[in-house]
Amino acid sequence: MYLRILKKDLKRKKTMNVILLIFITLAAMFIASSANNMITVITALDNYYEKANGPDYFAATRGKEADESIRNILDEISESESYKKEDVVYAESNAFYSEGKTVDFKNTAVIMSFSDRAVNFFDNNDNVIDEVKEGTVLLSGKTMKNAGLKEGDVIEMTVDDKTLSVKVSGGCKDAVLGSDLIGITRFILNENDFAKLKQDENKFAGNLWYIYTDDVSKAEAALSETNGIIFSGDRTMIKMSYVIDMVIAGVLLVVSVCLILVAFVVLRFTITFTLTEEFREIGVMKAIGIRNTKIRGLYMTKYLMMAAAGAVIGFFASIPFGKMLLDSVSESVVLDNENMVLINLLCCVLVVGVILLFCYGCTGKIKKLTPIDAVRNGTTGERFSKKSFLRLKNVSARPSVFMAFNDVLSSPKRYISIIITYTLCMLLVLVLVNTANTLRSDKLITSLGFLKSDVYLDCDQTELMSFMTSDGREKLEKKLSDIEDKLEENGMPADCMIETMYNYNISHGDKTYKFRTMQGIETISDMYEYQEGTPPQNENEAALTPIVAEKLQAKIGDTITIKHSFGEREYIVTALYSSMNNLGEGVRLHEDAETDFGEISGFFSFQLNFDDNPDEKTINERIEKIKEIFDTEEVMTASEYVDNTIGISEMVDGVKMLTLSVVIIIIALVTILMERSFITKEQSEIAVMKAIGFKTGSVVCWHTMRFIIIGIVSALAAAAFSTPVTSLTITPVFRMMGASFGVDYKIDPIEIFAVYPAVVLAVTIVSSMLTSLYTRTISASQASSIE
Amino acid sequence: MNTVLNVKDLCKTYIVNKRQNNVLKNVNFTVSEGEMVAVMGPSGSGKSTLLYSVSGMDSITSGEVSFGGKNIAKMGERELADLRLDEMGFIFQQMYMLKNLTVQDNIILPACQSKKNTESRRETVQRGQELMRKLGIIDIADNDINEVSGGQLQRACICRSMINNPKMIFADEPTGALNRTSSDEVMEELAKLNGEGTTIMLVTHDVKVAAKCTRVLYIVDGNIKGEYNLDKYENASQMRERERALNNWLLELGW
Repeated sequence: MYLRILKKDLKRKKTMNVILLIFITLAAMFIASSANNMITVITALDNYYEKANGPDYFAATRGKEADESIRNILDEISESESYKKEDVVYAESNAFYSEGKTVDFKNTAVIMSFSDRAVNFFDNNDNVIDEVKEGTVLLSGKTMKNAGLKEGDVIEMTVDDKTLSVKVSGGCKDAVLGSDLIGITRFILNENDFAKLKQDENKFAGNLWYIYTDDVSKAEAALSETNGIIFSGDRTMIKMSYVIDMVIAGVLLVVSVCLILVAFVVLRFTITFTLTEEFREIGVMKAIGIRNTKIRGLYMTKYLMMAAAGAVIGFFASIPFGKMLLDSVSESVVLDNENMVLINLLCCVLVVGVILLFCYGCTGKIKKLTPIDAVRNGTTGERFSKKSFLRLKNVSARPSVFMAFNDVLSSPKRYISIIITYTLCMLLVLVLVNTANTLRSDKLITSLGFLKSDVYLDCDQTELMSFMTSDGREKLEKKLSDIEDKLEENGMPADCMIETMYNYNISHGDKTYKFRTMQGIETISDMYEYQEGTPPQNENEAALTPIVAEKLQAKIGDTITIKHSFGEREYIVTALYSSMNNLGEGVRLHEDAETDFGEISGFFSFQLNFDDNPDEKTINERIEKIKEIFDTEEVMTASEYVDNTIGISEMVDGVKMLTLSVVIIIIALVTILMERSFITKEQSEIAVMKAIGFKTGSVVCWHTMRFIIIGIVSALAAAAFSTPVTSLTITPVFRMMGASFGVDYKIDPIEIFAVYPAVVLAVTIVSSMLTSLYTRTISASQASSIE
Repeated sequence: MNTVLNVKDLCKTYIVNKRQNNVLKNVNFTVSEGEMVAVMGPSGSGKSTLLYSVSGMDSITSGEVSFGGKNIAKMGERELADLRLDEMGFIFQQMYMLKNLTVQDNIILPACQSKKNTESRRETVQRGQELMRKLGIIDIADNDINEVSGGQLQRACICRSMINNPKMIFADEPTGALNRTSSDEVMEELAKLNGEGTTIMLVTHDVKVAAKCTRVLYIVDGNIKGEYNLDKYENASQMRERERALNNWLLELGW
C-alpha cells in the first residue's frame, strides 16, 4: 500500500521531486568534491615532500672550498644522520638562448645530471620520472611557464667556454627547488650531456646538499659558519616557499567551505519547502486514522530513496568536478588524492544522513498538528499573523513590481536561503577580486619591505655584479649619480636609490642563523615603514622582522651580533617591520652601517623618486621615456613592481575566473530550481491572476522582480561584508607570506559594487526570467481546477 | 436590449488518452445586457466548460463566441487578457485570492493593472472601499485573506470582479463553498448588482440560487436542453413560487 502511495507521489509531484533530486545531487557533488579537496590540499605539501624524499635541511653551495668544508662539518656533527650531495654547474642568467634570443630565467641557474639526483622528480601525471634522455633537458613546469618555453623548444646553454644544445623534454615537479621563491632554477640533463658542461673551475662548480637529521637547528648553526652557501633552508622554509601555491589552495578551501554551506542551505530550504507541500495529504492520512509514525515513515522512505538516488549521481559527478577545482594547485605540487573515492563515498553517505536528519526534523511537526491544521498547510488556527507587509494604496508602482516587493517583505523566511546562497557566492568572488587587486597594487610595496617610489628600474645584472666587490660602494654611488644626471638631462630630475642584500650570520644569545639583510643606498631609515619601535637612527641600530625576532628570541632593545667579513659588529634592535620578501625573514641595517660590498648577494631594482611629485599620467609618460633612455623594457610603477615581485596575481585571476564560472553556474541553477519551485507552489495564484486579466508578461515581471530584489539585497550584503571577510580569510595567507602585521587591502569600489554584482545580477535576471516563462503554460481556466 | 454575448455552434472537445470527449456540442444562445443567466445541469454536463469557453478563459474547438461584438475565438492570449481585465469579471467557487495581499489590495489589484484606468491610486482605493462598503465588508479591508470568513471572502471576490466596471460577470458556482446564510447574502448582492444593470452569467447546482436569475439554461451532455425565463419577483412568497416552478421545470427535464 505504502509503496503504491509512494509511486503515485513520485509520479504526481514530478516537478518538485525532480527539483529536490537535482538539489540533492548538487549538494552531494559539492560536499564530496569540496571535502576531498580540503583533505587533499591540507595534506598536499607534506605528502609531496615525503614522496619526493625532501631533506630536513637543504643548502646550495658554490665553489670547491665550500664542498670540503661542508662535508667535514656534516661528518663531524652527530645529528646528521645522513646526507646526499648533487654536483652542479652554476650558469650566468644570460647564458641561455632559445630561437636566437636570450632566455632570462631571472633566478640563479644550476645544471645537474639526472643520474646524480638526490630527490624524486614527478611528471605532470604525478609519476616519478625515471630517465632524462640524451639531448633533452628537464625543467620545472613553473620555470617553463615563466620563460615562455614549451615542450620541444631548443635551449642553448653556455657555461664558460662550453656550449650545449638540448631540447625541452617537458615540465617536472621539483619539491625542493620547484618554487619561484627559492630563487634557484634547476636544469636536469642526461649524465652524458652534463659531462659536456661539467667544470672543474671553482667559479662555476658547486653542490646541492640534502641533509636528513633530527636536529635541524644544530645542523643549521654548524653550517652557518661556512662560506660559499648561497642558499639554505630547512624543511619548513622549503615548504613555505610553496606559499603561493598555498594561496591558491587556501582560496580553494574558502571556495569549498562556501560550496558546502550553499549545499546545506539549499537542501534545508528544499526539504522544508517540499514537505510543506505534503501537509494536505498528511492531514488526510491523519484524518482517516493513520498513525504518526507510519506517516513519518512514509515520507522518510520517500526522502531516503531520493537522497540515495541523488547521492549516487552526485558521487559520480563529484570526481570530475573536484579534479577541475584542483587543477590550478596541481600545477606545481603532487597532490595525493588516493583516497578520493572513499572520501567522496563517505561524503555522499553523509549527505544522505543529513537529508534524513532534516527530513526527520521537518516531519516532527506532523506529531503536533491536528488533521485539520495539516490540511490548512501547517497553520494552526483561524487567526494568523499578518502576512501582507505593504499596502497597494501607499505604493505607486505597477502591481507586478508591488507584489514582488510585498512577497519578499511579507515572507522573508522563504527568501532568506536564497539570499544567503547568493551572498556567499558573491562573497567568494569579491574576496578573490580584493586579493587579486591587492596583489597588483602599490599598497603591498611597504609590506615587501621596500620604499614606495615613482619608478622601479631594472638594470643589467652583469653590471650590478661588478659592484659586488669591496670597493663597489663608490662605483654604485657613481652609477646612481649617473642615472640622476641622465634623468635631469631629460627634464626628469629625480633621486635614485637602490636596496642591497646580504646573507649574514646573525646571533643573539646562543641562537645563530643566516638571514637576508637589507641596506638602502641613498635612502634614509626613517623613510621605511616600521610597525613597532622607532626607525634605526645610528649606524649601530637595526630593525628586524617579527619572524627573525622570534627565531633569534630577540626583542626591541636587545643587541644582536652580525658577522661581517671585517669582524663582528653589534646592533641594537630598535624596530620591528613587516616584509613579505624572503617569506618574512629580514633584517634592515641603518644606511650608515658599515658593510663590505664584497659580501653582497644581490641588488633589487633602482628606485626613482621624481623631484616634482608628478601625477600618475606623467609617471606613465616618463616610464616610456626612461625605457628609451636606458634601453630596457624593465621599467615599472610601484604597483607593477609589486605584481612582478610577487607574481601570483595572474594565478589568482585564474582562480577568480574559475570561481566566477562556478558561482555563475550555482546561481543559475539555484535560481532556476527555486523559481520552478515557486511556480509549482503558486500555480493557483498565477491562474487566478491570469483569470482576472494579468498577461504572462506581468506574471514574468512579478517573478523576475523578486529575484532582482533578492539579487540586489545579496549584492549589497556581499559588498558590505567583502572587506571584513577578505581580511578574515586572506590575511592569514599574507601572514604566511611574511606580512606579519597584516595587509592594507586595495578595494576597488567599481568592481565590488558594480561590475561583479552586475554579472551575478544579470545571471539571476536571465535565469529567473527564462524559467518564469514557464508560467505561459498555466492558463486562466486552471483557476477552476486547482485543489 | 443589446446582446452582450452571442454563442453560435460552440463545440469543445477534449482528447484524453487518445479518446475524443465532446464536452460541448453545437451550443447556441445569447445573453442580453442586464440579464442574469443561470446555467444548470447534472455533474459532468459541461456547465463550467461552457462558462470558461464563452468567457475566453478556455479555448474553443469550433463555433463562434461574440462578446460585445468581438469574436473572442479569434483573439490572441494578450487580447483575451485585456478583455478579462477590462470587460469581464470572474467569481470562482473557491475564493481564490493572492495570499500575500490584504482583502482591499486583492480587490483593487485589477484596477491598478488596467491601462484603461486613468484614476490615481488614491481614487482607485476610494472606489474599492465604496464597493466594499456596498457589500458590507469595509471592516475587513485591511485584513489578510486568511483572517476572514468564506462569505466575506466571496463578497470580496465580487468586489474584485466589479472593480473595473465590467460588461459582464461570470461566476462558477459562487455559492458552492458557502453555507446557506452566506449563500443567500452573496446571491442578494449579485441580484442587487444585476438590478443596477450588470449582466451576470453563473453556473449553479442550487435551485434557490437559480431562482434569483432572470433566465435558466439547462445543459445535458454538452447540449442546451431547455431554457426557462423567470418573471420579476417582489417578495419572499413570489420567490418561493419561482423556486417551485423552476424545480418542476427541472424535474421535467430529468434533473
